[in-house]
Amino acid sequence: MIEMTNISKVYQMGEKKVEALREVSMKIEPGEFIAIMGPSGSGKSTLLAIMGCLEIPTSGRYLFDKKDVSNLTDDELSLLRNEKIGFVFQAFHLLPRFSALENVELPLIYKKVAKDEREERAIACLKQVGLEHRIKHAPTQLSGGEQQRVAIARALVNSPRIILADEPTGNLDSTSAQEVMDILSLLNQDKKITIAVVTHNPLIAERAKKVYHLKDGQLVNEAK
Amino acid sequence: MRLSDYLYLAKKDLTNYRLRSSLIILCICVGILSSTLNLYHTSKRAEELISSLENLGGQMISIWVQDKEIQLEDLFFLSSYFPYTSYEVSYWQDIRSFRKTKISVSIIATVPEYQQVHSVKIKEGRFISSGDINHRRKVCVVNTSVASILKIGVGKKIRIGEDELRVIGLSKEEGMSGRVIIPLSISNEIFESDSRNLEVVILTSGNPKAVKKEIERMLKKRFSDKKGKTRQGFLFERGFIVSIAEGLLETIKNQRLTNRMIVLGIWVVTLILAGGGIINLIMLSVRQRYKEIGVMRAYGAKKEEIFHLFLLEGILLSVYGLLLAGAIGASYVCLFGGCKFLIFLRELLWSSIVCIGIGICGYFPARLAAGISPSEAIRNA
Repeated sequence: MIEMTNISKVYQMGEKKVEALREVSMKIEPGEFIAIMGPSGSGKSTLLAIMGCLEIPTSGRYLFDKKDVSNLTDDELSLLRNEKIGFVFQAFHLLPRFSALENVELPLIYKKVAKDEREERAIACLKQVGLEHRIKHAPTQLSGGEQQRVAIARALVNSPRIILADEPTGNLDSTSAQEVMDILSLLNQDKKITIAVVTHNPLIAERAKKVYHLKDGQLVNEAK
Repeated sequence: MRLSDYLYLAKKDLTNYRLRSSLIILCICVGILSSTLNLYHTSKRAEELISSLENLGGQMISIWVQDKEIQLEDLFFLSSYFPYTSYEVSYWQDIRSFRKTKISVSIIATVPEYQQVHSVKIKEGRFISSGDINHRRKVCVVNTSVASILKIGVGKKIRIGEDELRVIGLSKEEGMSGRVIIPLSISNEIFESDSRNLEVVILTSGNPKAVKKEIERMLKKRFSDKKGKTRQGFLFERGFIVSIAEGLLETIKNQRLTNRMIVLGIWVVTLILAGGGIINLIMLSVRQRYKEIGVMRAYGAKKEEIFHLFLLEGILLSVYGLLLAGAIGASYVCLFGGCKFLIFLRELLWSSIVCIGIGICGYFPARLAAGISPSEAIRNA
């Protein structure tokens, strides 16, 4: 499903060039659960951003569903993200003025889904993460664990091919972290959704079938 | 994204900045309301004047007498050709009531035909009659503004210099400054002939240009004969100014133009203040929603969708301001402004062009929002 060959990413910081990724190659098959580990600044988030088509690599080839992403226009990338990729962030990134339900509906708005169908699908996703009783609550009225579950429901609502989670448990207590990871594992097993998680936590990485280690922008080894 | 979704998201964002949004709406409303009402009143007054000119059933032709040797009596012959001819001598003078209240007014010594020619409406009492002229009665007709300032009514007396005149009628002339009408036959007794200002006004249903030419020909002929060859030509050229009331229409149009220039000034100030406010609000909103823009883009929002969303917020603010101004203005027009809704709507339409300009001020911050990189926004949040 995802095939990366010699992916490099260089950021221009004034006159200085910073190499965030160096010649990274990896392949993710449909239905896989992978984890990306590495110290801070090793390029994990950049790799995830490239995987999620939020960034374009400086060099290398990235195929998503056998389609070369570097040839796509900005609008086509938006469409690809909308239809095939779900994101879960460490800081949840829920829109504060919107209720849990409205937050989950957001990706469907960009897909031009009608209001009634949007609500129906968003409620179904919130049920899946066990939050059907909190649909009208604003993010500030929810606990960290609940907010992350809303974020998972939002990632799930467009039935994506892959969910990219950047430190999904980084801001959570151990119980909530466990719950969130249970949901992600369940989605992988039951719905066969591909999951890619960036984490520092070896306990989280243990759930993955493959673990990639990054150091100074390079893939060091592949475990499991 | 559907239009309904754009509206839904934009409204949600604007309510987040309730106070700022309300202030901008208020600013737009005040600017639009003041300019629209200004235009409304000018247009209404102009249209009333034009329609009253039309209601006269014809065109007015004025003859201004410049030559001091000519008396109004010399022009009385015009009445045998034109039935609606009014002879007028006007003065600017102080008048007093018996309570010693003193005001400066325009005094017009004239004949009964003045009422038809100028379409004077009498609120109370009567107008000057031929009996008043023939018997040289010391009577007068005052307008409502004089009556209210001097606190007088029909039957009371006013003083012009040493002369006492009885008020026989109250004329209804809205928006007019103080005006007193007296019989032409007593003007020589009250005023010195040097301070006079002579005018003959003829109301005609014929082709005004042809009638004007005919009057000029008649005057030329009559006064050339009277004054002899030495004054031929000179007397007419310098003695009279004959003009068609189209000049009056021209004046009305010019006044409207002047007023539009003033309104243009109000529009520019509104555009700067409200437009600046919108730029400021949307810039602030873009800065505060930097992370959100990243999240929206990550979940599939296209650049253009982000641009349209922020642009719509600016346009919505100006539309709300316009609607509020329209509602307040319409209520005012209904209650105090004479219910001329068509004129009001026409002027509001002009102002709505300014509103579009104000709304478009959101273009620059909206472009800025659309250009935000999603990964950078999420990473730096």
